[in-house]
Amino acid sequence: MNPVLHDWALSPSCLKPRLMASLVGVPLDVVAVDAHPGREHRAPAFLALNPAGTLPVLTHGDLVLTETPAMLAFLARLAGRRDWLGPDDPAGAARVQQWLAFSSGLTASLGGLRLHAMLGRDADADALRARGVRSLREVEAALAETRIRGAGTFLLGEAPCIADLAVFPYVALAPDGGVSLDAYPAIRLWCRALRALPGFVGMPGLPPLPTP
Amino acid sequence: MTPDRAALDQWYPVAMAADLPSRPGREARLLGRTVRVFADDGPGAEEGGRALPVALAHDHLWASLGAPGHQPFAIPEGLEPGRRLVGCGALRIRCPALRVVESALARVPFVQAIAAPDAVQVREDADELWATLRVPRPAAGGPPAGPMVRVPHPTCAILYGASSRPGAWDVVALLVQPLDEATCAAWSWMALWDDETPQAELIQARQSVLARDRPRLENLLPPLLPLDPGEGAATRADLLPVAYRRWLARRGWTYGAQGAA
Repeated sequence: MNPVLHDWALSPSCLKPRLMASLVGVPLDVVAVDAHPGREHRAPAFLALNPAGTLPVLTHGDLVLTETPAMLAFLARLAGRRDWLGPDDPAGAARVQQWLAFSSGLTASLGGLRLHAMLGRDADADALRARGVRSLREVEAALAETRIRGAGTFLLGEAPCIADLAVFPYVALAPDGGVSLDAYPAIRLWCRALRALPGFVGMPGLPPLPTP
Repeated sequence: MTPDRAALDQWYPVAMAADLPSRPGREARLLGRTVRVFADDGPGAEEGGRALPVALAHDHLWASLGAPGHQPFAIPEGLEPGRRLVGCGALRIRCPALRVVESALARVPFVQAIAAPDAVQVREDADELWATLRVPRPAAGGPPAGPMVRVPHPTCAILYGASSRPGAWDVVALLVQPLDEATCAAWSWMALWDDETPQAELIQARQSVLARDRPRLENLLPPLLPLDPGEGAATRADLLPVAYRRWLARRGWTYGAQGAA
């Protein structure tokens, strides 16, 4: 029985479990939800599944997950790929948790700005942009410091892990909301490294790297 | 730029008919101005208290800031019994409405037919631009002979594609609302021969096509659509975009365009 993903193709949050599943080779049964224009994720049938009315939702038997960090960890373990969970030492494991929590702020700031720009959702665009840019600078600084130390291209060093996948989609799609990534060279390199991973799947606005 | 008379007197899609709030309604942008759309005893739109001409067509509310003097263009396929009508909502794009239509024309899959001279017939009527494929395509997967694309309005295009029903075409209408000269909302509406695909999958597939094109459209230079035939060197593959620009120039269309003669 495959895990079932309730999905909207244009949602960067929904890309997170799809990308994780593809990278570790877990087949998903994907159910499209008419989030726009139908707002099906706010209709009673969907709210019975996820009272928060958010996408994505991942189910596997009785298990219902509505938070993307939980989905990433679940899919990595389901595939027996503990390497994707990140380092095991106290500081490394804590940094993974730090980035997972950080990623929800990106959903609000860069994600909110993107919905405002693409769908015309009401928002204080200037405030969201300011918050989004602060977050981008934080990611840029972390990636640049890791590289300067010679420790690798990814958030936790040499290997990508669930922290990268939690942070990546809203950062990479910031231009959809009118925030350019030109000023963030370490982020752009990191995005390329993720897009080059075997099994990478993208979404509209975020294609895989062209194969040479 | 202030919209000229021709732009003001057009109809534009401003909302899905099924998604109209009651008064005071919802704000919508049109040609750089703010209007309100609503449904009480029937759909309506107003600008600063002034009632605007409105019409319902293709499951959308259309409004005009001027005096259109005609009804919105028809899509006869949408009235055929048995077709499935799918409204896909709008995607906002930071480019002139004309760029979205031009890009759709550039992607009409007729490139393979170019090898055969006159395989594609382009007809530029006063009111409409048509491209028709005159020979059946030998290769599978492409469109059958018949209509390929129709531009009935400066900011709208009707795309015809192969359907599950022999001899019939699926219809995808791209209905673009100019929010102002530099930004637009691209509505999609489809009339399909398809009783099987889940609604959400059809909608997402269509939204994905536009969303994939969106970053490129937002980074075009110049942003406004050049109508001067001396701009750039056209190739045979640009047949439809070039015809579209020529058709706009001949109508004297200027809103969202640059260098119109």
